[in-house]
Amino acid sequence: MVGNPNCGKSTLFNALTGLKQKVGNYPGVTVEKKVGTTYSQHGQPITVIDLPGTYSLAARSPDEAVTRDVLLGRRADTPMPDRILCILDATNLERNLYLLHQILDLGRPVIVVLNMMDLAAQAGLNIRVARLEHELGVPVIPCEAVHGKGLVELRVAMSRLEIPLARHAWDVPAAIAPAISELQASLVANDGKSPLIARAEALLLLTDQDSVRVAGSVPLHAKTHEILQAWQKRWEGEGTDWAATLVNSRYDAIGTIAAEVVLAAGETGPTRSDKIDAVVTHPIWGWAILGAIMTAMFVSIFTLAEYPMNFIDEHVAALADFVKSSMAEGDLRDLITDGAIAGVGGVIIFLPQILILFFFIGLLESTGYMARAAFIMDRLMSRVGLNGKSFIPLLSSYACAIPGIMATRTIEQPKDRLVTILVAPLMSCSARLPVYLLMIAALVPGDRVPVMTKVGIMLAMYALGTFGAFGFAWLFKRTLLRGAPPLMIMELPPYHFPRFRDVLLHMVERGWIFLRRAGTVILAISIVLWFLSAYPKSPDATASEQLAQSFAGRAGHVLEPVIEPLGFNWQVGIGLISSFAAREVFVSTMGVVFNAESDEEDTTPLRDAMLNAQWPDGSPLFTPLTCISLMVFYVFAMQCISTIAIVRRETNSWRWPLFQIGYMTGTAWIVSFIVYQAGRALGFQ
Amino acid sequence: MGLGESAFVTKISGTSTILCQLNGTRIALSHDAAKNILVEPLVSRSAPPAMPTVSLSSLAVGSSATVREFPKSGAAFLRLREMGLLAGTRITLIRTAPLGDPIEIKVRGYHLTLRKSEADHVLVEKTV
Repeated sequence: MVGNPNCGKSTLFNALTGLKQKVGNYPGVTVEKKVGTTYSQHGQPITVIDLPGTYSLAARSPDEAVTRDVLLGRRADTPMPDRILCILDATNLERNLYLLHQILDLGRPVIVVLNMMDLAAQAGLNIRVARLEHELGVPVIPCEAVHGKGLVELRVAMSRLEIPLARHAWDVPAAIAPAISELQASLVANDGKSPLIARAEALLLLTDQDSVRVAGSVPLHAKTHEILQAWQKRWEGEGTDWAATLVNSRYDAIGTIAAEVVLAAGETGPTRSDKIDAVVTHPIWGWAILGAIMTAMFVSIFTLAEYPMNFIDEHVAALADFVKSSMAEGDLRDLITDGAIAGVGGVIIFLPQILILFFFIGLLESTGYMARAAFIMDRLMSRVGLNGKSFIPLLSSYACAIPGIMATRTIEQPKDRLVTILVAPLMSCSARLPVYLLMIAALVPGDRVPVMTKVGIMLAMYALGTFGAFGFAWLFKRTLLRGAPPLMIMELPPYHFPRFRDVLLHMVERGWIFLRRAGTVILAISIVLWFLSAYPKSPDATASEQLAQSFAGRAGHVLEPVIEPLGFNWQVGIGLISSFAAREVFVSTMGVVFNAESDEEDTTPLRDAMLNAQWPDGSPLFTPLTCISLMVFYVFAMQCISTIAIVRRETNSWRWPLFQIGYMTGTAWIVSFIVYQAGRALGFQ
Repeated sequence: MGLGESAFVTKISGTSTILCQLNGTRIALSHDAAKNILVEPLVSRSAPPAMPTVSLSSLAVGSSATVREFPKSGAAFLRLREMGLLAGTRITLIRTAPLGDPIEIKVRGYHLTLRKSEADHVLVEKTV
């Protein structure tokens, strides 16, 4: 299935395949592969591939490159499809016909689906379907995927034994015709393509200025490249704009068809979407609405997620207790309860936040509001070289970076997406909150300190993280990931009522992907971390002593020289290491290290124990300066293996997560160092 | 004589000596002279522009215009062409974003956004 973005392709795909769909990956690229099964009229299974939406086969992003490559049979992992379902949006037929025009060049069996017929009727457009079928020569099925209309006729068409080949005779403009013939000949002779596909590819190659090549796509023969370059050089010399000539020629042909087929009922007044947009993009009301929606989303992730998260916590703990009581004491039992079960619990605990975030994102996309949000935020975002679409992933990262990073999928340009992924963890996530709270309690003890001071410090940390994120985004876009400024060419689709079925399917898909892909890595590393703090075992030791002489404890000692300039000692070092499991684990680790029981509500015993802690020379460990230094460290440092795992998954390599650990932790060290040493130099102790 | 850049010219006849029409005037050019003048053929045979061409980014909100000229190269412009923004296409400027950038236009029945930095290079002729 191919089609423009926003043409209702996913709705149609869901309607055809229901739950019989799987999301995977195209090997070598971070583009998702969506495959489903539907059934023909006679009950035979048909495999349907939902290719990424595109406006043209001249690809501008990896998603579009994959669509092009699959249709041209260039991918070794996906055979050329037997038939092509081209979905057109009836409300703007001309633009949609452009893609169809390119696809008809391929000479493959094509079935055209004319979707959104209801919206076309509402817009006063009368489309002569029979005439369109006659002009194109292929079956045209009018459809309203949202209401399920036209599906039966579509299945019948898909079940046909023979699909007539398109009546698609258009003349390649004279200026470029000789080049096309040469390229076509080379593609047939040297690349082994069939004549029609070769011609289609030849046409594409001409409009492929800076087109995207992706891994997994079979490259073209050197001879073909030579011919292409020779012609391009020649045209450059002559000043022929071959790409524009081709596009104009296609639109000429399309214009002729559209004139015969579309009867507009004249100029209609402002549509419902226009009226809504007048408010939504209003200089005052627009911001208010955006703020309200973002607050609602944010609050939901923070608070609504609490209930299922506590539920999961309780049950995981209950399961662990059950195993503890039913198994004999020993290493195996500890491995299962403290390693495996705790690890699995640590993975599942993210599900509520992920599901809620993707529910909201799905809702916003489905109604069409998402495009408006990107439209409004674009100016701010492009100041640092980011896309307007980076806004929601970054905002969500305040709650948790993991769903935020998963949400960057909507950003088409790979460099922008990567930069957003790299800086997202700097937005202070909710896991840092317990650390901040503990430090602030130690920093400004006593209830006589005004609440505003505590709030002020908290906000300062959040602001620091936010500025860090935008600062690094700007830096990366200037240096490492320098690229052309992102294209902001985007369609604003008409508003419509959200399709809940699609939203829920999408949400479940995302959750499942997280569990399968990230879950395994997180589980593995949590077991390793548990092992490091539980071994070597010293029987008859208190928890604190055990921790102190475990591998983790020894690592803390080894780390001490490095973190002493920041004001931390080896005990804090253990805490830093354990934060790799999850940042909030710092608090409970400190509890074990300093032998003080504490829970989330009342950190007083822990705070008191920490305030009594000392360096070997007797000076207090947790001075106000150390507390601030520690907080600043947490603002910037990359801990949290779950985030690392999801970055690995979303970028398909270990290079970027490792780079992220490096730059973030490096920055954390430097800033912490500056804060601590400058503070001491200035006499704050 | 008026045959400067962005001028709209119609070729009337000729292979060695070119006869063309420009702003109501007829001009004859030798082949050698015409050889060095590069033009972009326009799709539609619409009338020569009555109004001067301005950049798309400078249009007033709510006004309609016809696209006249387009940069030849650049990924953005090729993509805009493929989405239906061609010379001779009618567009309407719907609004600008609250912060001033990007802008939203209506073209071929749908709404499209683009940055001012891109719109700067698209020359249009206002429709009265």
